[in-house]
Amino acid sequence: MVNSRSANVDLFETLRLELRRGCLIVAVLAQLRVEHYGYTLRKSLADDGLEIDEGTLYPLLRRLETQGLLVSEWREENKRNKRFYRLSPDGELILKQLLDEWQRINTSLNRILQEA
Amino acid sequence: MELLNRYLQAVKRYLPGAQQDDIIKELSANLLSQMEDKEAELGRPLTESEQEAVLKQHGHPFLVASRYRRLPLQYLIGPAMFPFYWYTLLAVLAIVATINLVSSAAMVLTGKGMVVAMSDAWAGFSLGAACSIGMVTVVFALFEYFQVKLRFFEHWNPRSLPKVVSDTQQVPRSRSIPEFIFSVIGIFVWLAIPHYERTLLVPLAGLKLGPAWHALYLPVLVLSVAKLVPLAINIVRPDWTRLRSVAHIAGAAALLGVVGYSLTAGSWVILAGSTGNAAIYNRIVTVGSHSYTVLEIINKSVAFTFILAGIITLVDSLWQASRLFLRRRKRTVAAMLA
Repeated sequence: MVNSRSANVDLFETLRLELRRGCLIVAVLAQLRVEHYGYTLRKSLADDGLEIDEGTLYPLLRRLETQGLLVSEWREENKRNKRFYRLSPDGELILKQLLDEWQRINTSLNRILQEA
Repeated sequence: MELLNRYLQAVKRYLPGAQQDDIIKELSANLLSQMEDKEAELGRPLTESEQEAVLKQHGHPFLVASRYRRLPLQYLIGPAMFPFYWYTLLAVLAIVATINLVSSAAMVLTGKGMVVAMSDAWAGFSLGAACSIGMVTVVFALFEYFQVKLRFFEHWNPRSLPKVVSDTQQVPRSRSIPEFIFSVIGIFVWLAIPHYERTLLVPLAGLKLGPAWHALYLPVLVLSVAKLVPLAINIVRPDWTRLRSVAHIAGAAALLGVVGYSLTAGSWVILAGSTGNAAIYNRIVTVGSHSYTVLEIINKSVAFTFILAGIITLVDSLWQASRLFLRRRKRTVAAMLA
Protein backbone atom coordinates (compact mmCIF):
# COMPACT_ATOMS: atom_id res chain seq x y z
CA MET A 1 0.00 0.00 0.00
CA VAL A 2 2.81 2.38 1.02
CA ASN A 3 4.81 1.27 -2.02
CA SER A 4 1.90 1.89 -4.36
CA ARG A 5 1.37 5.36 -2.85
CA SER A 6 5.05 6.23 -3.28
CA ALA A 7 4.95 4.86 -6.86
CA ASN A 8 1.95 7.13 -7.53
CA VAL A 9 3.81 10.12 -6.12
CA ASP A 10 6.80 9.31 -8.39
CA LEU A 11 4.51 8.87 -11.38
CA PHE A 12 2.77 12.18 -10.66
CA GLU A 13 6.16 13.90 -10.35
CA THR A 14 7.30 12.48 -13.72
CA LEU A 15 4.07 13.50 -15.45
CA ARG A 16 4.15 16.94 -13.80
CA LEU A 17 7.69 17.51 -15.08
CA GLU A 18 6.65 16.44 -18.58
CA LEU A 19 3.68 18.80 -18.48
CA ARG A 20 5.79 21.69 -17.17
CA ARG A 21 8.71 21.24 -19.58
CA GLY A 22 6.96 22.59 -22.66
CA CYS A 23 5.03 25.22 -20.70
CA LEU A 24 8.24 26.64 -19.20
CA ILE A 25 9.69 27.35 -22.63
CA VAL A 26 6.51 29.17 -23.66
CA ALA A 27 6.53 31.14 -20.39
CA VAL A 28 10.21 32.11 -20.79
CA LEU A 29 9.68 33.22 -24.39
CA ALA A 30 6.57 35.17 -23.41
CA GLN A 31 8.32 36.86 -20.48
CA LEU A 32 11.24 37.86 -22.70
CA ARG A 33 9.04 40.05 -24.87
CA VAL A 34 10.46 42.47 -22.28
CA GLU A 35 14.24 42.43 -21.79
CA HIS A 36 15.58 40.65 -18.69
CA TYR A 37 18.79 39.19 -17.39
CA GLY A 38 18.79 35.73 -15.79
CA TYR A 39 18.05 36.62 -12.19
CA THR A 40 15.30 39.20 -12.87
CA LEU A 41 13.67 36.83 -15.36
CA ARG A 42 13.52 34.13 -12.70
CA LYS A 43 12.05 36.61 -10.23
CA SER A 44 9.44 37.88 -12.64
CA LEU A 45 8.38 34.31 -13.52
CA ALA A 46 8.16 33.48 -9.81
CA ASP A 47 6.12 36.67 -9.18
CA ASP A 48 3.68 35.43 -11.84
CA GLY A 49 3.44 32.07 -10.05
CA LEU A 50 5.90 30.04 -12.11
CA GLU A 51 8.82 28.94 -9.97
CA ILE A 52 11.77 27.75 -12.04
CA ASP A 53 15.04 26.43 -10.76
CA GLU A 54 18.11 28.51 -11.73
CA GLY A 55 19.95 25.38 -12.79
CA THR A 56 17.26 24.83 -15.41
CA LEU A 57 16.60 28.43 -16.43
CA TYR A 58 20.10 29.74 -17.11
CA PRO A 59 21.19 26.89 -19.45
CA LEU A 60 17.73 27.07 -21.09
CA LEU A 61 18.34 30.73 -21.97
CA ARG A 62 21.56 29.80 -23.72
CA ARG A 63 19.88 26.95 -25.57
CA LEU A 64 17.06 29.19 -26.78
CA GLU A 65 19.65 31.72 -27.91
CA THR A 66 21.59 29.02 -29.79
CA GLN A 67 18.32 28.07 -31.49
CA GLY A 68 17.89 31.68 -32.60
CA LEU A 69 14.79 32.38 -30.50
CA LEU A 70 16.53 34.88 -28.19
CA VAL A 71 19.16 37.56 -28.63
CA SER A 72 21.42 38.74 -25.85
CA GLU A 73 23.83 41.55 -25.09
CA TRP A 74 26.20 42.38 -22.24
CA ARG A 75 25.37 45.72 -20.62
CA GLU A 76 26.31 47.50 -17.41
CA GLU A 77 23.57 47.95 -14.85
CA ASN A 78 24.14 49.04 -11.23
CA LYS A 79 27.90 49.04 -11.82
CA ARG A 80 27.85 45.40 -12.90
CA ASN A 81 27.96 43.75 -16.32
CA LYS A 82 24.89 41.61 -16.97
CA ARG A 83 23.73 39.61 -19.92
CA PHE A 84 20.31 40.78 -21.05
CA TYR A 85 18.07 38.54 -23.12
CA ARG A 86 15.06 39.38 -25.27
CA LEU A 87 12.93 37.68 -27.88
CA SER A 88 14.36 37.65 -31.43
CA PRO A 89 12.11 38.17 -34.50
CA ASP A 90 12.20 34.37 -35.08
CA GLY A 91 11.35 33.89 -31.40
CA GLU A 92 8.32 36.16 -31.75
CA LEU A 93 7.05 34.08 -34.66
CA ILE A 94 7.60 30.78 -32.83
CA LEU A 95 6.02 32.17 -29.65
CA LYS A 96 2.91 33.17 -31.60
CA GLN A 97 2.67 29.66 -33.10
CA LEU A 98 3.23 28.03 -29.72
CA LEU A 99 0.58 30.23 -28.07
CA ASP A 100 -1.92 29.37 -30.84
CA GLU A 101 -1.19 25.68 -30.28
CA TRP A 102 -1.49 26.09 -26.53
CA GLN A 103 -4.84 27.87 -26.94
CA ARG A 104 -6.09 25.03 -29.15
CA ILE A 105 -5.03 22.40 -26.61
CA ASN A 106 -6.53 24.43 -23.77
CA THR A 107 -9.86 24.86 -25.57
CA SER A 108 -10.03 21.14 -26.40
CA LEU A 109 -9.13 20.17 -22.86
CA ASN A 110 -11.79 22.49 -21.43
CA ARG A 111 -14.36 21.01 -23.80
CA ILE A 112 -13.36 17.45 -22.82
CA LEU A 113 -13.56 18.33 -19.12
CA GLN A 114 -16.99 19.92 -19.52
CA GLU A 115 -18.26 16.83 -21.36
CA ALA A 116 -17.09 14.53 -18.57
CA MET B 1 32.39 36.67 -1.26
CA GLU B 2 35.11 34.05 -0.97
CA LEU B 3 32.52 31.26 -0.95
CA LEU B 4 31.01 32.56 -4.20
CA ASN B 5 34.42 32.71 -5.88
CA ARG B 6 35.23 29.18 -4.76
CA TYR B 7 31.86 28.03 -6.08
CA LEU B 8 32.38 29.73 -9.45
CA GLN B 9 35.85 28.27 -9.75
CA ALA B 10 34.48 24.80 -9.06
CA VAL B 11 31.74 25.22 -11.69
CA LYS B 12 34.30 26.54 -14.21
CA ARG B 13 36.37 23.36 -13.95
CA TYR B 14 33.53 21.32 -15.47
CA LEU B 15 32.46 23.79 -18.16
CA PRO B 16 33.31 23.45 -21.87
CA GLY B 17 36.52 25.42 -22.50
CA ALA B 18 35.27 27.88 -25.12
CA GLN B 19 32.32 29.07 -23.03
CA GLN B 20 33.87 28.96 -19.56
CA ASP B 21 34.49 32.69 -19.04
CA ASP B 22 31.20 33.81 -20.57
CA ILE B 23 29.10 31.41 -18.50
CA ILE B 24 30.97 32.20 -15.28
CA LYS B 25 30.56 35.96 -15.82
CA GLU B 26 26.84 35.51 -16.34
CA LEU B 27 26.44 33.10 -13.42
CA SER B 28 28.40 35.44 -11.16
CA ALA B 29 26.16 38.42 -12.07
CA ASN B 30 23.01 36.38 -11.42
CA LEU B 31 24.22 35.00 -8.07
CA LEU B 32 25.46 38.40 -6.90
CA SER B 33 22.10 39.97 -7.79
CA GLN B 34 20.33 37.22 -5.86
CA MET B 35 22.54 37.77 -2.79
CA GLU B 36 22.14 41.56 -2.99
CA ASP B 37 18.38 41.14 -3.13
CA LYS B 38 18.49 39.04 0.00
CA GLU B 39 20.74 41.59 1.73
CA ALA B 40 18.31 44.38 0.82
CA GLU B 41 15.47 42.30 2.24
CA LEU B 42 17.35 41.61 5.52
CA GLY B 43 18.89 45.09 5.73
CA ARG B 44 22.37 43.67 6.43
CA PRO B 45 25.15 41.74 4.68
CA LEU B 46 24.64 37.99 4.37
CA THR B 47 26.40 35.76 6.88
CA GLU B 48 28.62 33.00 5.57
CA SER B 49 25.99 30.35 6.30
CA GLU B 50 23.36 32.39 4.41
CA GLN B 51 25.71 32.64 1.41
CA GLU B 52 26.25 28.92 1.73
CA ALA B 53 22.48 28.35 1.64
CA VAL B 54 22.14 30.39 -1.58
CA LEU B 55 24.91 28.42 -3.27
CA LYS B 56 23.61 25.07 -2.03
CA GLN B 57 20.19 25.94 -3.43
CA HIS B 58 21.80 26.73 -6.77
CA GLY B 59 23.14 23.18 -6.98
CA HIS B 60 26.35 21.16 -6.93
CA PRO B 61 29.02 22.69 -9.23
CA PHE B 62 29.25 19.50 -11.29
CA LEU B 63 25.49 19.36 -11.91
CA VAL B 64 25.27 23.06 -12.69
CA ALA B 65 28.11 22.81 -15.20
CA SER B 66 26.77 19.59 -16.73
CA ARG B 67 23.55 21.36 -17.66
CA TYR B 68 25.56 23.76 -19.80
CA ARG B 69 27.80 21.00 -21.09
CA ARG B 70 24.93 18.96 -22.49
CA LEU B 71 24.19 21.68 -25.02
CA PRO B 72 23.15 21.18 -27.77
CA LEU B 73 22.98 17.39 -27.17
CA GLN B 74 20.24 16.59 -24.67
CA TYR B 75 20.44 12.79 -24.79
CA LEU B 76 23.00 10.27 -25.93
CA ILE B 77 20.17 8.51 -27.76
CA GLY B 78 16.83 10.28 -27.67
CA PRO B 79 13.33 8.78 -27.45
CA ALA B 80 12.70 9.07 -31.22
CA MET B 81 15.90 7.18 -32.07
CA PHE B 82 15.74 4.68 -29.19
CA PRO B 83 13.41 2.04 -30.77
CA PHE B 84 15.70 1.83 -33.87
CA TYR B 85 18.72 1.59 -31.57
CA TRP B 86 17.16 -1.14 -29.42
CA TYR B 87 16.10 -3.39 -32.32
CA THR B 88 19.43 -2.90 -34.11
CA LEU B 89 21.21 -3.90 -30.90
CA LEU B 90 19.10 -7.08 -30.52
CA ALA B 91 19.63 -8.02 -34.18
CA VAL B 92 23.41 -7.47 -33.95
CA LEU B 93 23.63 -9.51 -30.73
CA ALA B 94 21.66 -12.35 -32.35
CA ILE B 95 24.10 -12.31 -35.30
CA VAL B 96 27.12 -12.33 -32.96
CA ALA B 97 25.62 -15.27 -31.01
CA THR B 98 24.91 -17.22 -34.22
CA ILE B 99 28.42 -16.63 -35.60
CA ASN B 100 29.98 -17.88 -32.36
CA LEU B 101 27.69 -20.92 -32.19
CA VAL B 102 28.53 -21.85 -35.78
CA SER B 103 32.26 -21.33 -35.22
CA SER B 104 32.22 -23.47 -32.07
CA ALA B 105 30.31 -26.19 -33.95
CA ALA B 106 33.00 -26.03 -36.65
CA MET B 107 35.68 -26.35 -33.96
CA VAL B 108 34.03 -29.48 -32.59
CA LEU B 109 33.80 -30.92 -36.10
CA THR B 110 37.50 -30.28 -36.70
CA GLY B 111 38.39 -32.26 -33.60
CA LYS B 112 38.59 -29.72 -30.76
CA GLY B 113 37.05 -30.74 -27.46
CA MET B 114 33.49 -29.75 -26.61
CA VAL B 115 34.49 -27.83 -23.47
CA VAL B 116 37.20 -25.88 -25.32
CA ALA B 117 34.77 -25.04 -28.14
CA MET B 118 32.05 -23.89 -25.72
CA SER B 119 34.43 -21.73 -23.68
CA ASP B 120 35.84 -20.24 -26.91
CA ALA B 121 32.29 -19.53 -28.07
CA TRP B 122 31.46 -17.82 -24.78
CA ALA B 123 34.66 -15.74 -24.84
CA GLY B 124 34.02 -14.81 -28.48
CA PHE B 125 30.42 -13.89 -27.74
CA SER B 126 31.36 -11.75 -24.71
CA LEU B 127 33.98 -9.82 -26.64
CA GLY B 128 31.84 -9.56 -29.78
CA ALA B 129 28.80 -8.44 -27.78
CA ALA B 130 30.78 -5.76 -25.91
CA CYS B 131 32.30 -4.41 -29.16
CA SER B 132 28.94 -4.52 -30.99
CA ILE B 133 27.10 -2.74 -28.17
CA GLY B 134 29.82 -0.08 -28.15
CA MET B 135 29.83 0.41 -31.91
CA VAL B 136 26.04 0.46 -32.31
CA THR B 137 25.76 2.94 -29.43
CA VAL B 138 28.41 5.23 -30.91
CA VAL B 139 26.74 5.15 -34.36
CA PHE B 140 23.31 5.96 -32.94
CA ALA B 141 24.73 8.63 -30.63
CA LEU B 142 26.27 10.26 -33.74
CA PHE B 143 22.90 9.97 -35.54
CA GLU B 144 21.32 11.69 -32.54
CA TYR B 145 24.01 14.37 -32.36
CA PHE B 146 23.70 15.26 -36.03
CA GLN B 147 19.92 14.82 -35.88
CA VAL B 148 19.94 12.24 -38.69
CA LYS B 149 16.35 11.36 -39.63
CA LEU B 150 15.81 7.62 -40.12
CA ARG B 151 13.21 7.35 -42.85
CA PHE B 152 12.86 3.53 -42.96
CA PHE B 153 9.38 3.64 -41.50
CA GLU B 154 8.07 6.65 -43.37
CA HIS B 155 7.43 4.80 -46.64
CA TRP B 156 5.07 1.96 -45.89
CA ASN B 157 1.72 0.74 -47.03
CA PRO B 158 -0.99 -0.88 -44.88
CA ARG B 159 -1.58 -3.29 -47.79
CA SER B 160 1.89 -4.75 -47.35
CA LEU B 161 1.19 -5.73 -43.71
CA PRO B 162 0.61 -9.46 -42.95
CA LYS B 163 -2.98 -10.71 -43.12
CA VAL B 164 -4.92 -10.96 -39.87
CA VAL B 165 -4.45 -14.40 -38.35
CA SER B 166 -5.96 -15.95 -35.26
CA ASP B 167 -3.88 -17.63 -32.57
CA THR B 168 -4.66 -21.06 -34.04
CA GLN B 169 -3.28 -19.96 -37.40
CA GLN B 170 0.16 -19.16 -36.15
CA VAL B 171 3.04 -20.86 -34.42
CA PRO B 172 3.29 -19.16 -31.02
CA ARG B 173 6.73 -17.84 -30.15
CA SER B 174 6.35 -19.54 -26.76
CA ARG B 175 6.70 -22.77 -28.77
CA SER B 176 9.15 -21.81 -31.52
CA ILE B 177 11.73 -20.12 -29.26
CA PRO B 178 12.17 -23.07 -26.83
CA GLU B 179 12.14 -25.42 -29.83
CA PHE B 180 14.96 -23.40 -31.41
CA ILE B 181 16.98 -23.37 -28.18
CA PHE B 182 16.55 -27.11 -27.58
CA SER B 183 17.47 -27.82 -31.21
CA VAL B 184 20.73 -25.88 -30.79
CA ILE B 185 21.46 -27.79 -27.56
CA GLY B 186 20.61 -31.03 -29.40
CA ILE B 187 23.13 -30.18 -32.15
CA PHE B 188 25.85 -29.65 -29.55
CA VAL B 189 25.00 -32.94 -27.86
CA TRP B 190 25.17 -34.65 -31.28
CA LEU B 191 28.52 -32.99 -31.99
CA ALA B 192 29.83 -34.19 -28.63
CA ILE B 193 28.95 -37.86 -29.19
CA PRO B 194 32.15 -38.88 -31.13
CA HIS B 195 34.29 -37.27 -28.42
CA TYR B 196 32.54 -39.05 -25.60
CA GLU B 197 32.06 -42.40 -27.35
CA ARG B 198 33.56 -44.41 -24.50
CA THR B 199 31.48 -42.70 -21.81
CA LEU B 200 28.37 -43.19 -23.93
CA LEU B 201 29.06 -46.87 -24.40
CA VAL B 202 29.95 -47.62 -20.76
CA PRO B 203 26.87 -49.87 -20.38
CA LEU B 204 28.08 -51.68 -23.49
CA ALA B 205 31.73 -52.14 -22.54
CA GLY B 206 33.87 -53.64 -25.28
CA LEU B 207 31.82 -52.13 -28.15
CA LYS B 208 32.42 -49.11 -30.38
CA LEU B 209 30.28 -47.15 -32.81
CA GLY B 210 29.95 -48.95 -36.15
CA PRO B 211 29.69 -48.01 -39.87
CA ALA B 212 25.89 -47.42 -39.78
CA TRP B 213 26.42 -44.79 -37.11
CA HIS B 214 29.20 -43.08 -39.13
CA ALA B 215 26.96 -43.06 -42.21
CA LEU B 216 24.15 -41.49 -40.15
CA TYR B 217 26.21 -38.93 -38.25
CA LEU B 218 26.86 -36.19 -40.84
CA PRO B 219 23.44 -36.29 -42.63
CA VAL B 220 21.65 -35.99 -39.25
CA LEU B 221 23.89 -33.06 -38.32
CA VAL B 222 23.10 -31.33 -41.64
CA LEU B 223 19.36 -32.03 -41.19
CA SER B 224 19.43 -30.66 -37.63
CA VAL B 225 21.19 -27.45 -38.72
CA ALA B 226 18.79 -27.09 -41.68
CA LYS B 227 15.86 -27.47 -39.27
CA LEU B 228 17.04 -24.33 -37.46
CA VAL B 229 16.22 -22.19 -40.51
CA PRO B 230 12.42 -22.65 -40.52
CA LEU B 231 12.43 -22.46 -36.72
CA ALA B 232 14.23 -19.11 -36.82
CA ILE B 233 11.90 -17.87 -39.57
CA ASN B 234 8.88 -18.83 -37.45
CA ILE B 235 10.21 -16.74 -34.57
CA VAL B 236 10.15 -13.70 -36.86
CA ARG B 237 7.03 -14.72 -38.83
CA PRO B 238 4.77 -16.85 -36.61
CA ASP B 239 2.06 -16.76 -39.30
CA TRP B 240 4.15 -18.84 -41.77
CA THR B 241 2.56 -22.10 -40.62
CA ARG B 242 2.75 -23.71 -44.06
CA LEU B 243 6.54 -23.36 -44.00
CA ARG B 244 6.62 -25.13 -40.65
CA SER B 245 4.46 -28.02 -41.88
CA VAL B 246 6.45 -28.47 -45.09
CA ALA B 247 9.75 -28.28 -43.18
CA HIS B 248 8.56 -30.83 -40.61
CA ILE B 249 7.36 -33.32 -43.21
CA ALA B 250 10.50 -32.89 -45.33
CA GLY B 251 12.71 -33.23 -42.23
CA ALA B 252 10.95 -36.38 -41.02
CA ALA B 253 11.03 -37.97 -44.49
CA ALA B 254 14.72 -37.11 -44.87
CA LEU B 255 15.44 -38.61 -41.44
CA LEU B 256 13.72 -41.85 -42.42
CA GLY B 257 15.70 -41.91 -45.67
CA VAL B 258 18.96 -41.37 -43.80
CA VAL B 259 18.15 -44.14 -41.30
CA GLY B 260 17.31 -46.48 -44.21
CA TYR B 261 20.59 -45.62 -45.93
CA SER B 262 22.52 -46.14 -42.70
CA LEU B 263 21.04 -49.62 -42.31
CA THR B 264 22.68 -50.63 -45.59
CA ALA B 265 26.05 -49.44 -44.27
CA GLY B 266 26.28 -52.18 -41.65
CA SER B 267 26.07 -52.37 -37.86
CA TRP B 268 25.45 -49.53 -35.37
CA VAL B 269 27.85 -50.93 -32.82
CA ILE B 270 30.73 -53.36 -33.36
CA LEU B 271 33.23 -55.19 -31.17
CA ALA B 272 36.15 -53.03 -30.10
CA GLY B 273 38.92 -55.55 -30.67
CA SER B 274 39.15 -58.88 -28.90
CA THR B 275 38.04 -57.98 -25.39
CA GLY B 276 36.89 -60.29 -22.65
CA ASN B 277 33.32 -59.23 -23.35
CA ALA B 278 33.45 -60.58 -26.93
CA ALA B 279 32.19 -63.97 -25.74
CA ILE B 280 29.12 -62.32 -24.17
CA TYR B 281 28.28 -60.36 -27.34
CA ASN B 282 28.79 -63.42 -29.57
CA ARG B 283 26.55 -65.62 -27.43
CA ILE B 284 23.68 -67.09 -29.44
CA VAL B 285 20.17 -66.27 -28.27
CA THR B 286 17.18 -68.03 -29.79
CA VAL B 287 14.05 -65.92 -30.33
CA GLY B 288 11.20 -68.12 -31.63
CA SER B 289 12.57 -70.04 -34.60
CA HIS B 290 15.42 -67.54 -35.18
CA SER B 291 18.83 -67.47 -33.59
CA TYR B 292 20.77 -64.21 -33.07
CA THR B 293 23.96 -63.15 -31.36
CA VAL B 294 23.62 -60.59 -28.49
CA LEU B 295 25.43 -58.03 -30.72
CA GLU B 296 22.89 -58.56 -33.51
CA ILE B 297 20.02 -57.99 -31.03
CA ILE B 298 21.62 -54.74 -29.83
CA ASN B 299 22.04 -53.55 -33.45
CA LYS B 300 18.48 -54.48 -34.38
CA SER B 301 17.17 -52.67 -31.26
CA VAL B 302 19.05 -49.48 -32.18
CA ALA B 303 17.82 -49.68 -35.79
CA PHE B 304 14.26 -50.31 -34.59
CA THR B 305 14.46 -47.28 -32.25
CA PHE B 306 15.69 -45.01 -35.07
CA ILE B 307 13.06 -46.26 -37.51
CA LEU B 308 10.31 -45.89 -34.91
CA ALA B 309 11.47 -42.33 -34.08
CA GLY B 310 11.47 -41.46 -37.80
CA ILE B 311 7.99 -42.94 -38.36
CA ILE B 312 6.52 -41.18 -35.28
CA THR B 313 8.01 -37.84 -36.42
CA LEU B 314 6.69 -38.31 -39.96
CA VAL B 315 3.19 -39.33 -38.79
CA ASP B 316 3.07 -36.45 -36.34
CA SER B 317 4.15 -33.99 -39.06
CA LEU B 318 1.53 -35.35 -41.50
CA TRP B 319 -1.14 -35.16 -38.77
CA GLN B 320 -0.27 -31.54 -37.93
CA ALA B 321 -0.26 -30.62 -41.63
CA SER B 322 -3.61 -32.30 -42.27
CA ARG B 323 -5.19 -30.44 -39.32
CA LEU B 324 -3.89 -27.18 -40.73
CA PHE B 325 -5.14 -28.03 -44.20
CA LEU B 326 -8.61 -28.99 -42.88
CA ARG B 327 -8.85 -25.77 -40.86
CA ARG B 328 -7.97 -23.69 -43.92
CA ARG B 329 -10.47 -25.61 -46.06
CA LYS B 330 -13.22 -25.14 -43.45
CA ARG B 331 -12.54 -21.40 -43.41
CA THR B 332 -12.61 -21.19 -47.21
CA VAL B 333 -15.95 -23.08 -47.35
CA ALA B 334 -17.38 -20.87 -44.58
CA ALA B 335 -16.23 -17.77 -46.46
CA MET B 336 -17.88 -19.05 -49.67
CA LEU B 337 -21.18 -19.77 -47.89
CA ALA B 338 -21.18 -16.44 -46.04
